[in-house]
Amino acid sequence: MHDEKAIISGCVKGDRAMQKALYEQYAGKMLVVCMRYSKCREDAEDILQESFIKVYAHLEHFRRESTLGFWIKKIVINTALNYHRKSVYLYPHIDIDDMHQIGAEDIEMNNYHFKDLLHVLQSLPQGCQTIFNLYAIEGYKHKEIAGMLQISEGTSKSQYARAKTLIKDLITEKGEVKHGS
Amino acid sequence: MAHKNQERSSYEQQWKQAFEQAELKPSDDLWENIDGALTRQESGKYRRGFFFYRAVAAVALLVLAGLGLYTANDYLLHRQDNTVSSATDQPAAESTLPAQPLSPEAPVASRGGTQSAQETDPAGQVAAPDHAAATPLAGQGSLSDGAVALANPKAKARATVAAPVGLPDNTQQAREDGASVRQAVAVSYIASRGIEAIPPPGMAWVQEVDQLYLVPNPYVKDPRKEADRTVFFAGLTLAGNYFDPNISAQPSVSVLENALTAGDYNYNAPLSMADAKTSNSWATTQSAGVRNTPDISLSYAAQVGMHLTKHLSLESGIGYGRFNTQTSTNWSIQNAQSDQKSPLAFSNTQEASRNLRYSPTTNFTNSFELLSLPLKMGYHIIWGSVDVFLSSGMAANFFIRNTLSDAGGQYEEVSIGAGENSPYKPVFYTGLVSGGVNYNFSGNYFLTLAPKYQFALTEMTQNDALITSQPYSFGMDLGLRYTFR
Repeated sequence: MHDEKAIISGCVKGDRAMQKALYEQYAGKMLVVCMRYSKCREDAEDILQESFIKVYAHLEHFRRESTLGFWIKKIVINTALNYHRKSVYLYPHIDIDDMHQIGAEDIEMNNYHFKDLLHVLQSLPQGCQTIFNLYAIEGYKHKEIAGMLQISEGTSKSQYARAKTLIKDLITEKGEVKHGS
Repeated sequence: MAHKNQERSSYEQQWKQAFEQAELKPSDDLWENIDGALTRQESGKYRRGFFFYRAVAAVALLVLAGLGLYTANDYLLHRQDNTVSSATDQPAAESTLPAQPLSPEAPVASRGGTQSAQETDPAGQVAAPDHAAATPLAGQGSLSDGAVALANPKAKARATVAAPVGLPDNTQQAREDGASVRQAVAVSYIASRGIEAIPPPGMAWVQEVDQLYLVPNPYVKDPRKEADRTVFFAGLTLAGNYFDPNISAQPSVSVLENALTAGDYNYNAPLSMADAKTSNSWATTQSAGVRNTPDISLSYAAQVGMHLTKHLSLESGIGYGRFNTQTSTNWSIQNAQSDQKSPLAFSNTQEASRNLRYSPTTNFTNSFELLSLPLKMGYHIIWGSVDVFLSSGMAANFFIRNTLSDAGGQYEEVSIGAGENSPYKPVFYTGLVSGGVNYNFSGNYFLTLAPKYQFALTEMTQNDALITSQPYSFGMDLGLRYTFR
């Protein structure tokens, strides 16, 4: 097991063994991130591959202002956003008042395995899926999301509201996840 | 980045926690794919590095060739000067007399009557205390009446051979006079030219009584020294150029591919869409509709320089060019906020990942504006009014902007500068090779006609850009030059 400093130094020098060590350390966690933003495993692995190539290319610029894992995750998210970035029609504006009629908070998420939740996320429309990930899981604010996706803050909020509605619908009253919806 | 936990509802907290420790095992071949991509990337870097060193080597070779030519020419000039004086089988008698410039008032060489070598000096040297600047040289045992003395006009005069004036102009006759074969050849050489021989630059034949001396001519300027004097020049040129930005994609580029798979194809779907959607290569992207064709453009330059010697010159200046290429594309980029549409070219590939649309084929002018500061070394051969030259060097090129102009008016004009958010570097370097003719048509004025070739030593694009560009151009300079004499 190599320490992080040695791995970074080796990767910057192009040492393939160190690059593989970095990959083995983070690929599993980052694949889950990619899966959250994708519709299928193939897309997720494409994103992961491109992300790691970017990581190796830019690792010399890593300033240790955050953890290495956090820095890699940011690259993965940006790559995923680029991968799925489309025209504004992906993020149709819906009435923001819908947000207050959702009641999705009643669902107890701890009862579900993350793989079930992945299925739920992957069943959402692409725009809803992206915004839900950014807001609920990554913790970005709607204003930040609007800037990242070049959409209005209202669109971000309405898409998030729609995502919550759809998630509630995908999880049945019996607590089972509807697959393939 | 994240909003504070206390602002988050339990709902979002649960989602976050559900994925915090989650891991999935990637496919076994994923690392192999990454490994392959890294290898391709490294080989691309190697190729670019190799290109740079090859270009540097080419420029260095040209400069060395120029210097070699100059040195060889200089050597030949020296050899010519020494031809007569070196053709003897007798050891050269080094003159102890330094060559000195002779003033017009100074007496020229005078021996005051016929002398033999033995009478002159046992060592074969001729003492000339009353006219040290003239260096009469005596060969051993072959002097007769009216000896001819030759002196090298260079500072270190080599005493080698002396021959009698009026010697027969053939070797056999010289042999009969007792000279060795090689000496006879030398004597014959001198005699065949005799007094009619043209003295080396800056020297003159002087005959007094029976001896002939070669002395510096105080009334004639040495043309070689004249030519070696530093002369400045300045000029203006107009050039026609065939400019190719020579753009290609880096091996690992996938943004455009992503854009192709994520784009909006509902508008006039192309026949190549099936290819485009499954594309993993830039080649398919190009076949889907981005093509660039070099074009002829004008550039303007001002030069200043100096002739360091008769044959060598150093030149610099400043040049401006707007180099046009023609690009056709089937893709456009639509800004989500301003709704402004621009054609997809190589320069705006990065933006393509956002709002790429398939459009009818558009032809537009893709121009590159550059400001150049060249530094060139030239080698010149001058025949009368004609100066034929070969020069090589390098130039620092400052990228001003890349402009996409659609003459059809379908798209608004788009300009892309250099810098952090651009694929182009602010400065890149090129190697220069040119040759041509300067024609002295009036006084100090010259007309210049010079074909030229320029090639990239470094890339015009940023290292992390999605495209690479190593431009080259062929051109023809037409200019006017003024020489300050």
